[in-house]
Amino acid sequence: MAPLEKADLLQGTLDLLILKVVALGPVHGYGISQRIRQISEQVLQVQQGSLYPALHRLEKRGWLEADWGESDNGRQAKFYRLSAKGRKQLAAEEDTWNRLSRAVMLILETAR
Amino acid sequence: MIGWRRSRRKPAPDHPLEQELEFHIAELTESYIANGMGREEARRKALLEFGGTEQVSQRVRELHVSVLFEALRFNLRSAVRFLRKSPLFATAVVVTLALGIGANSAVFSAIDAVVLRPLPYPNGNQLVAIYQQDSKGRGCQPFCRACAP
Repeated sequence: MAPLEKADLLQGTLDLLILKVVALGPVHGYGISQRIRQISEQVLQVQQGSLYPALHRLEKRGWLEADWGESDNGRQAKFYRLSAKGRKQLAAEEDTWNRLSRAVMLILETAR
Repeated sequence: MIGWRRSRRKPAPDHPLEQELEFHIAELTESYIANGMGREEARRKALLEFGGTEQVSQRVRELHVSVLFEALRFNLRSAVRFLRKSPLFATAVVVTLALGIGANSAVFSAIDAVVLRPLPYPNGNQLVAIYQQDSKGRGCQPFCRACAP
């Protein structure tokens, strides 16, 4: 599938995607961008200029926790994982997203 | 409080943000090399795709500053709330501070005028005061025409 432009990503969606990806297990910034791309079948490509500010913002809010560790190929990397607060936030944002997308789908289907 | 919480975690590298971004670029470079690119070219492409380390770290740093301001605003708000809750204590503190600052600035402005500031005349260091006394050594008031012989 063709990648979407950055502007096409809804405000606040990136936070949700990051939380969801991190919930799969501790992962560094590079891994997050790779996972988002792979899982979305190359549609979503997160810009580094958005990813790292978002990661640090989520860490400051206490939704993510970070530790330095060794990556697969032996480099020092900052690994992010979900905090208990983050898990709650993820559940809330997933719920909001589901309701929103269902509402949009309903409108698209009736207007057909 | 932020600093204290962080210090209890694992020690981070000297420039954690730069190192974090550098890691990303290194991984990206590796992925291009794995696709059969030369090291030089892969590195250049990774840097290009990353879109300027400096801009990214600048944006992250701005974020930290704004978080700092948020903390400051929160502290100020809770301070105001606390003072509102105990007006007597607040008045006592304000009066104490006012008296302390007032006394301090009064003493300082006196010392400033007498000791620190030069006299408001040209060549103030050549200014002299003349006194006179009679032949028995008894003091007289400052020099004046009336008590001159």
